[in-house]
Amino acid sequence: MEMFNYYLKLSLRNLTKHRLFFSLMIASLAVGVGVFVANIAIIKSMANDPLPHKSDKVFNVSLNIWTNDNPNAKLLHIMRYDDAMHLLNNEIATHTMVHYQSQVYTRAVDSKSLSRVQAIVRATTPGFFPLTDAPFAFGGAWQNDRAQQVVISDSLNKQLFNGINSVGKHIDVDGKPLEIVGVLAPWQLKPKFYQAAREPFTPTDDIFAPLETAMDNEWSVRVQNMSTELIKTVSDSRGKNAFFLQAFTQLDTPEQKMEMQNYLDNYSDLRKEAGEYLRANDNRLLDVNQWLEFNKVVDEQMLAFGLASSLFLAVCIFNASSLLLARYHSARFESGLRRAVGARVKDLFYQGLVESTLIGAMCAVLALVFSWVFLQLSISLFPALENTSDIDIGLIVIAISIALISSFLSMVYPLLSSCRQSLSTVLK
Amino acid sequence: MLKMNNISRIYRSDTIQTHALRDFSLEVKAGEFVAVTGPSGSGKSTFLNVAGLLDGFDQGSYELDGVNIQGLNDDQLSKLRNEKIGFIFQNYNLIPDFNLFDNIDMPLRYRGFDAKERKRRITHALEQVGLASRADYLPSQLSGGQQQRVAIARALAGEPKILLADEPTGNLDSLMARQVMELLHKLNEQGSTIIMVTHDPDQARSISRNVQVIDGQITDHSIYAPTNEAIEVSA
Amino acid sequence: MNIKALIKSLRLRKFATTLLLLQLSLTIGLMVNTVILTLSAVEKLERPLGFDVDQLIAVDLLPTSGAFRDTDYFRSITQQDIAKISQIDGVISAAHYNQLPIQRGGWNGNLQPADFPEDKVLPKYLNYVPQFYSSDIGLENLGVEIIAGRALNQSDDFTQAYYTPGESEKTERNIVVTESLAKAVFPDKPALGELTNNGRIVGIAKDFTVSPNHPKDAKYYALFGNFMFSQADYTQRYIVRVEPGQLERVAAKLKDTILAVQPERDILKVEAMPDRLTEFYGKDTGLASLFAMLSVLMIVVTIISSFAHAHFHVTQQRKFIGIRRALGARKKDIMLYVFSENWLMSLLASILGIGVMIGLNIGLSQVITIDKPDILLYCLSVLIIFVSGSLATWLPAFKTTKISPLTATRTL
Repeated sequence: MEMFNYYLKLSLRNLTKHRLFFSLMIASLAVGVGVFVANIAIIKSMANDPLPHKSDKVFNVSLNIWTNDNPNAKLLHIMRYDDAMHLLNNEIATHTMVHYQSQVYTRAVDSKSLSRVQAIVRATTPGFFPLTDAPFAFGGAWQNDRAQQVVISDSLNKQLFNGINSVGKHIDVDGKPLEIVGVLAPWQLKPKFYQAAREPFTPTDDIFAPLETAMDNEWSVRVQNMSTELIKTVSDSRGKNAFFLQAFTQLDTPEQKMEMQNYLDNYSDLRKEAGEYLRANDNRLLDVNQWLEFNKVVDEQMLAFGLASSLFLAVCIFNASSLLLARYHSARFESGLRRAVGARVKDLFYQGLVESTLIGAMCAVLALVFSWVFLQLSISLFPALENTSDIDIGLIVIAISIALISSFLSMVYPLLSSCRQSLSTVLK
Repeated sequence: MLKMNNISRIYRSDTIQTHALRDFSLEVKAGEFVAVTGPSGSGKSTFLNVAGLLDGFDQGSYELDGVNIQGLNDDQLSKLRNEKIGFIFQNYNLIPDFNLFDNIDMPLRYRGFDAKERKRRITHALEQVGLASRADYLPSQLSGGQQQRVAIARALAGEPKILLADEPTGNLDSLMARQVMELLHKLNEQGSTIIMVTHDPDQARSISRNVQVIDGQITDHSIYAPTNEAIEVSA
Repeated sequence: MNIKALIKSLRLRKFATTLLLLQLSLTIGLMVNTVILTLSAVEKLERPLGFDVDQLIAVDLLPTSGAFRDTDYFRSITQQDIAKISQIDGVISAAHYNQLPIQRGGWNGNLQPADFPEDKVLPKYLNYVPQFYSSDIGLENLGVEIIAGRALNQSDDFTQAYYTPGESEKTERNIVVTESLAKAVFPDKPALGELTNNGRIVGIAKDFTVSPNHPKDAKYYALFGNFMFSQADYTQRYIVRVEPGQLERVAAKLKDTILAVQPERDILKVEAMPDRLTEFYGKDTGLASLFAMLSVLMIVVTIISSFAHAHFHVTQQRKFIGIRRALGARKKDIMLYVFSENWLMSLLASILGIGVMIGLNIGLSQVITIDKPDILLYCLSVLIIFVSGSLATWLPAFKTTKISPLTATRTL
């Protein structure tokens, strides 16, 4: 420890003496680390596992039911109302849910103000809550499929009811009252895997409503259809070829998964027998992470920039290394002297390590500042990243380690070569 | 104290082999003051580097204070340098941004002494060279002679078995050179073993034992006899 | 200049030389690819679109009241909105649309001849033809000409039929398609007058860019019908065509004008078309900006390194340079010596840079669409490296001229 303090003192002295040199070197290294870390921050949260303890047990269900022999047609990730109902009736899965997204304008029924707030609706089935581990602050899910009841998010509860226990109160949508039966605790899936195909980094949905209720109330939906049959309204899409529901299911054991696969294949066969023209069976169960990957949730632009920023980090390390080489070269007299009076190679190496750690630490601090700046810059250039990334403890640890490693990497060759030099020539 | 037998040191470049030392044998006893002289390129410096464990050798054997040098690894050599040898260089080799205290402190750090012991030794060493009051001066604030005395203090602070001096007065004017020589003689009287490379015959003459190196070999012992003058100087 | 001596001197500093070479070549590689990205982003933004982008303002709005679920009410309010907007000073015309050109996704469907055989496969992009429903002035309002047949007129409006039970299936719709679409659907005969699964083609419009991300002619695919889709849950779009230079003034008035007709609407967005275009390509330009920033930083870092390299070299060779001076080398000979080392480095780096440039381009093409590098850009980057390297070397080189020939004689 005493030697450590001694070396620290020496390094500080060295750094202050060659202020300009080291600030240039540290700054350039920190810029490299900063850009790299900002990029990692974005990619890391995009590649985040939203359900770490059971992401391998929750599956997206893509059914082979799109009656299209077009070779370009992909397997659909959405299904018809009838398909969804059949799927919900399975007795295999631990939980199953289907959902679609809508949007309404709402207000608290009791509120004096008549102004409405825009609310994102998740029209779904009660399986949604246990499947996504959505935490309830008050109340719970609805019991009846057609209940005029909803669960609202913490943020909507704050907006409309100042965050009190609003279970039993009513909100108004299109002039119809809906009873609140549950309020979620603050909750954010990152990414919202059940919405991977479209804006997975948006805030938690505001209203969770029974699927049937949402359809009966004609809450809008994006439909894909393949027939000329006319679907006038949302409620009219029951029993028709309108594809708009997405399904997820939780299968805890491999046996369950196998049974579910059979269940789906049987269903396709049934539809085929009923006269639908289908391709060969390829009903697909993708678990959460496969599903996110399939939907390319990690932004391609950011991956491309990741490639460039790692090259830049390499260039910064090379730069620091060649600067240090020059520095050590001009300090070779001192290290030679130290060796002459009895310092071992490992003593010098230890001293270098302390110096590199000090440089790395300063670089880490600066790099964190830079990475914050670059993160803001990236967000201003890519507004979609807004809710994606934040600087958390994990990231700070990563930043510090990268800074220390970079500083060590750039130090290692110059240090070794200064330790290796022949003593008798240096001191002449 | 120091015993070299048939030491050879060969420098090889792509095309040329240079025998810097060949069949070099020398024995120095405890308490001796030995002057090593010889023309440039004769191998004096190589001898001093080998003796000081800064450089290796190709053949022969070398025993320092009872320790056989052959086959020791870098750590062991460093330890020997640190504990048994004190270096005095022609150009002092002080670290310019360290004050005198920190300069002398450096070898003691590697010895692992605690702060109190280091302080005691540094103060004592500075007292020995008459610079006790200037511990916090920077080398650049001192004259050349004073700087060399600091270098001597640095060598002394580790209480080495042997002092190796490489033309310690080479960069000094005659007055300062005298002062440094007086100091070395005094240290020798107090019991230090000293080997000093010099090209100044007068200086060599003042020293009890002379060794001449020519072409990497010892050709003669004690060309110059100690004179009265030298004794006066040291008194 | 003695190249051999130079190379020898560089080889003595293998490590430092290798590092600098790598840096220079990586910089060249990144720079070329940055410029490629930037150029393609700029090119996309400046590509002519075929409609009057600069004169258009788009408004996105959503009803917030249940009253709009009555389609008659919905339609009457929309008609009043359009009428009021058309009266604003500086407005040429306005119309409602179910979707806007320049978009991803949207309201698409297949378009095929009515007698298309069931077992025949339709070309990919004919499965996703954007269907535009607007009023009879929908195309004119965008500034798109009709080149054959006629424009849609009031009698083509099938809104009433659509919302009357049993009527919709009976009515034959009239549509206008773009030129490229007409050729794609009826490759062997004139499309005018032909019946498709979406109605009879009564007019052919000049091509304009609808889906910029689609390849080739599929960019221009669009069909137009005279129909007011009246579903309260869907974002409604108005496009307002204004006199040149009136964009901002009109845009400022739109929100109040619309809310004055009926206040229970959420005006999601009032945006000039050129801004929409910029936003559409935001990811491309954003990435290009990030790369540009990185390239600039990389050049700066490389300049620092080149400087350090030359400086280090000069310090190391102080005495040697002094000897040369003593032996009669002129100041400019010495400067040339230092510069030529940098130039040699740049030359070697530009050779390595070809590999880096291609490697990075291939790496990037795995994740994004990027054009192939070309010779001109490469030469440009090499030039930049030469110039910045020479600039960085100038100071150390200049310093060498201060080295006195005396250095040679001084023994250290």
